Amino acid sequence: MRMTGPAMSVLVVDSDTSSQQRLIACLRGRYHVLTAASIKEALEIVAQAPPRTLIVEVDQPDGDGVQLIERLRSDPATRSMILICVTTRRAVRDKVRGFQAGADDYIIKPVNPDTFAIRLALLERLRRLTS
Amino acid sequence: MESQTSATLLLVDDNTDLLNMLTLALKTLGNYAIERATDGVSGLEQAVNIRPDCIIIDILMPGLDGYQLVRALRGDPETADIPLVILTAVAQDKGQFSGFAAGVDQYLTKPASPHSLIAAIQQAMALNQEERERRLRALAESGMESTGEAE
Repeated sequence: MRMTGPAMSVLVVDSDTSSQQRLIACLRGRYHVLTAASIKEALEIVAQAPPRTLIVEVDQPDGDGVQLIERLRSDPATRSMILICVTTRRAVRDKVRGFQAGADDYIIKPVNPDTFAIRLALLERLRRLTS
Repeated sequence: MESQTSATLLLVDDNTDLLNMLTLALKTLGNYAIERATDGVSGLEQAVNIRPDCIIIDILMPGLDGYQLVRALRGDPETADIPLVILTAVAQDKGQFSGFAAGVDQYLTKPASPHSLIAAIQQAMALNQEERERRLRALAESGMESTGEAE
């Protein structure tokens, strides 16, 4: 797969350590991976330097990952980020809510490492096309 | 006695005139059973509930657009292997790339003849998950944003 370069940063926001590690394993070597275990922590990292991509579990210890997506999408400083829900919430209403908040993709855990990396690479190409 | 249908298709399009025309053509020419939805959200609900053999999806729809519907289906292991065809008025290369990048199997632009739609449905239904992943990987490696019509 075409590499996206070491400068591409991805922030994984998930309080579940094993989920976080699984995602990191998918991304390692292709991206500079940052992690946060809460929305508060994620917002602190984003405020310092917005990553290119944010991957977020909907259920967070201090709130709601979809609201985080909505907030980042409505802020001019972060609205062009690639925002992805990776979650255990598979009800139709949750998926619809995620996309309507501005998620670029909505993926149910556990992620398939091969297809996840491909989907992310294709989303980056799409974003370059539209920006 | 009614003959047995060949497969169940779900048509998702907000144009009810087109839905009526497609329903008639696909029942008559392809002997398919047809389910219908007029927006992306009810299309997703029906896809989850009835697990059709193939879904034909418009892009410009209220609720969820066609790309989002494809992503919602492909992002869930329970629906990831449903054959998907986009049938749309969006003819630009960017639209096609967006469709294939989302995970659709075939991309047709309107107006499409019933025979070309049936051919696209059959080609989508002939794909297995391994082939689907191979095609997605090839797209990611291609370096091309213009994919043209599906193979």
